[in-house]
Formats: sequence, structure tokens, C-alpha cells
Amino acid sequence: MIKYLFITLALISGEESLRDQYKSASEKVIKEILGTGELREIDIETRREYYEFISGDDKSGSKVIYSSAKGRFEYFDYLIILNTKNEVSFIKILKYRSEYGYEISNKGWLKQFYNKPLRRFEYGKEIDTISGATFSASSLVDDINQILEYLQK
Amino acid sequence: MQRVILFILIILIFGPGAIRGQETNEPINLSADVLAKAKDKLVFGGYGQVDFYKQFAEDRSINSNLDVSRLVLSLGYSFTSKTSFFTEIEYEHVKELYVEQAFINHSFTDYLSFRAGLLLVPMGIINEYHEPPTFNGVNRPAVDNLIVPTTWREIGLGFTGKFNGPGIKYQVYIMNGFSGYDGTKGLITGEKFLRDARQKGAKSFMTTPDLSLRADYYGIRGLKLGLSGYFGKSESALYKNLDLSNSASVAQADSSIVGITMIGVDARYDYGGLSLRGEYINSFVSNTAEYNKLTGNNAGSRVKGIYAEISYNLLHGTLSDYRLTPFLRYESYDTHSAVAEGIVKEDKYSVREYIFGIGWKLAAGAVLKIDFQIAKSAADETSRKTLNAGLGVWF
Repeated sequence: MIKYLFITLALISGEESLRDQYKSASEKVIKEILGTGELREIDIETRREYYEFISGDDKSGSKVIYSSAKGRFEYFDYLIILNTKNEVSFIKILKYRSEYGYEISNKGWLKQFYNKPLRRFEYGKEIDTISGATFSASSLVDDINQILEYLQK
Repeated sequence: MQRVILFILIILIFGPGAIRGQETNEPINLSADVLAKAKDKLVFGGYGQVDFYKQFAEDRSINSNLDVSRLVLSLGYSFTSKTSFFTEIEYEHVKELYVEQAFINHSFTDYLSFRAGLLLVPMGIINEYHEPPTFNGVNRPAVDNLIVPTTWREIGLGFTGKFNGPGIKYQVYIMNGFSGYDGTKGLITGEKFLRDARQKGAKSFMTTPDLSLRADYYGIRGLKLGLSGYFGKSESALYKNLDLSNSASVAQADSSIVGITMIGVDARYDYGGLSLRGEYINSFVSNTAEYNKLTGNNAGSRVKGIYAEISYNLLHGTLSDYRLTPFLRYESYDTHSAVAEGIVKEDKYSVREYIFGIGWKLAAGAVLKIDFQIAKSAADETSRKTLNAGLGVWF
């Protein structure tokens, strides 16, 4: 009963899950990268949702994660897809709210994370710094590191 | 069950707003998520710098200067995920208090946000990004001080938005302009150009609004290009209660303003430990002959400046968390690049500078800096040499 009350409350106060919030923006991308399949919930945390991708082929077992990280003042939301070896295979900034630091949306910069067998990225080492986007860029690196750490468990 | 029905009734009667209010007051009923979001609505930040300057001269003794050049506390409040307020309150030289920014922002979509209040004029690199750890050298580049009067802010409103696909950001604002004439004297000069004419949103007055535009391109990794434009006229106190039938007064008022067209291009490029940046600003000032005649000033009709800078993080690719970044910057600027009839073109306003030094970043937001500045005007035989050192923070 409490659970339904909570859901009602969440719906009324507009606390949609990130997955629902970005359904249209993310479903197409997930299909492009992983093919057709289903998302199975692994864990829902504050500002982060972990899903496992289930399909009939070798992409099954990939992870799809929605997360929010903080720039200097405001949160930005992003989607990250990891392959079955838990390597980053795709990142998309879904919503960037702040005036500064939007350069992290640059696809070329995001590609630095892709297909690297690393358990931890260092801003300024494997990942180039971006002038004017220090807060957001390092926050994204930290956030991705937290996700990688979680998935190692 | 009864409690549930009662709860739903309360929701229906008072609406979602009441529930949110109740949630914040009674955290027992809350999910951690909602609580976390409520706490995140208000965010504090700040930046500041403490500096030391020592000028060298062969023939005389000069005192060093030590100054808390600026200390800024910033506050951001998000009313909703779309509507926020941002302000920066600044102490300059410990004693002068200013509001540097104070605006409300409402985001309709990524492509379109509305904002209004005390806004930064988007011109060049430093006016918008002026936090000490973001630039090399103790002092902001001279071009971003004299040609672009950083921190340049006025009250206005407009739109901004981003297109992440191609990597383009735009800003379009209608803003108040410079106070060219305060009723007793002209504030636009040959020596300091527009610096003393900024109204900074403090009891400011307006004759006609100005237009400020900027586009940023960030579609290529590591590269950022900017194109800025500022178009308008300075404001004048002589238009206050101006009798339009008095042609002498009207002529005098018309002489007390100048037209300002400022165009700026800038580029930043980061690759590995290497950073390059450059900026070119060109201002066309009209009506200066009349203006100088009325005010006795010597404002130039063409004012421009350029700089280029290279820096390299010596610790790039090492295991160190520090960043040790030597840099070299060349600047050339002239507030009398051209003058209208009636005044003498001053060579001393045409200056070239070399600045080299090193920054040691203890953390991303904390830096120690030292640099040496050699500046020479076209009128001088010898250069002015200054040693600058300081610390900068940003959080």
C-alpha cells in the first residue's frame, strides 16, 4: 500500500524516473547501439538508474544507465551504455541546464571514454581537460567512475 | 486505508504544491530523492584572488602593492528544473561592494532560454569566464581589461540557447549601454576607453538600449570559437527632461553620446597538455569629434586589441594531481588606433606587452601564479617591467 502511495505521490509531484523522462530521446539511441531488446531494472538510486539490456544476441548483458551529475551549480542528465565487459561504449548528454560547461556534450570529447578497459578515468590524463568546463567535465568523469565502481561489485 | 484516502483528498484539495511543501517540512514522509533535490535548490560558490605587484625602475624606488583584488560570492537558486536565479556579489579591493550578476533564467527547451536582470555582456573570452583558475597570469589580459571593460555588465534581457548536434550556442540581449556623459563630464576617454563609463546596473539610466550578440562554436573536440558583436550608443544624462524645442540643448545632448560598434573574435584550443588561445577586438566609435569637443576628452574613434597565448601543462600524462603550466602571452592594443579631427593621436596609448610566467594548480579550483610583464608604449623609450604573483581560487 505504501508503495502505491509513493508512486501516486511521485507522479503528482512530477518525480518521474530518468528513463521515463528521456524515453523518446534514449530509446532510439539504445536500439541503434544494442539492437532490439528489453531493459531489466538492476537498481534505482537517487539520480541514477541501472538497467541490464536483455536480447537474443551477444549484446545481451550490456548495461544502460541514466545518471545525473552536477556542474558548478546545476545538474545535467546523461545516458551511458556499457558493453558486456563493462567498457563504456556510448554516452549522450540528455539535458544540460547550466550556462557554462556545455562543451562536455561534444561527441569527440565523449569518445575518449569509449572502449577502454579502464576501471577508473582521470580528468586531465586519459580525459582531456576542457577550458571553461572544468566543473562539469570533472564531475562527469567522477560520476562515470562511480558507475564503473558500482558495476565491479 | 483511511489514511491513504485522507492523503489523496489532501492532494486533490490543495494540489501538488501543498504536497511538495509538506514534503520539505516533514522529511519523515519523504523519499531520500526528493529531499536531496530540495537541498540542491540553493547552491553557493565563489572565486577570488589575492595579488602582489612589484614594478621595477632603474632610476627610482617603487613600492610593491598587495591587494585582495576581488572576492566574489555566488548564489544560485533553482526554483524548478527550468527556472533559476543566479547572482554574484563582489568585493573589489576589500572595500568596494558590487553586484556582478543577478538574473533570472527560464529554459523553455535546450534551444531557447529567456533571461533578464544584470547580465554579463558576452564579448571576448574573459568577460564571461573571469574566474582566476581559468586564465593564465595574475592579471586578466590587458585587452580584456581596456578594450573589453571586464567585468562588463548591465541590466538587460534576451535569449540564449544551444544546439548540441552541430555544437552552437547563441546569446542575444537587449541591454543598457555606457554612461558617456553623467551631466558634468564625459566618461569615455582616450586613456581608459569605456572602463569608467560602465554603469554596472547601479542607478543606471538609459537613453537608448544597445544590442549584444554572441555565437560560440564547440563542435570540434578541444576547439572553441566565438564571434561577438555589440551595437549601440552610449547613454547621456543630458537627455533627462530635454526640451525638444530647444535646438541648442538638443544639439548639445546629441554631442554627448557616441555610437559604439564592437566586434570580437576569439579562439581556444586544448590538446593534451597544450592550450592555445587568442582574441581580437575591434571597436568603431562614431561621433567622437563632437563628443570630444563637448567634453574636452580625447576618446579615440577606433579602438582595438589583440592577444595570443600558449601554455603547456608540464605534468600532463604524469601521475601527478598538480598542474604546472608555464605560459607566454603577447598583447597589442591601441585606444587611439584612429582619432577624429580635433584631438592629437597619442602614441602612448599604443602598447605592446609580453607576459610570461607559470601557474601551479594545487587543485582544479586553486592556483598559485607568478609572471613577469614587459610593456612598452610607442611613446616610451624603455619598457615598464612588473613582477606579479598571486593566488586564485574558484569553487
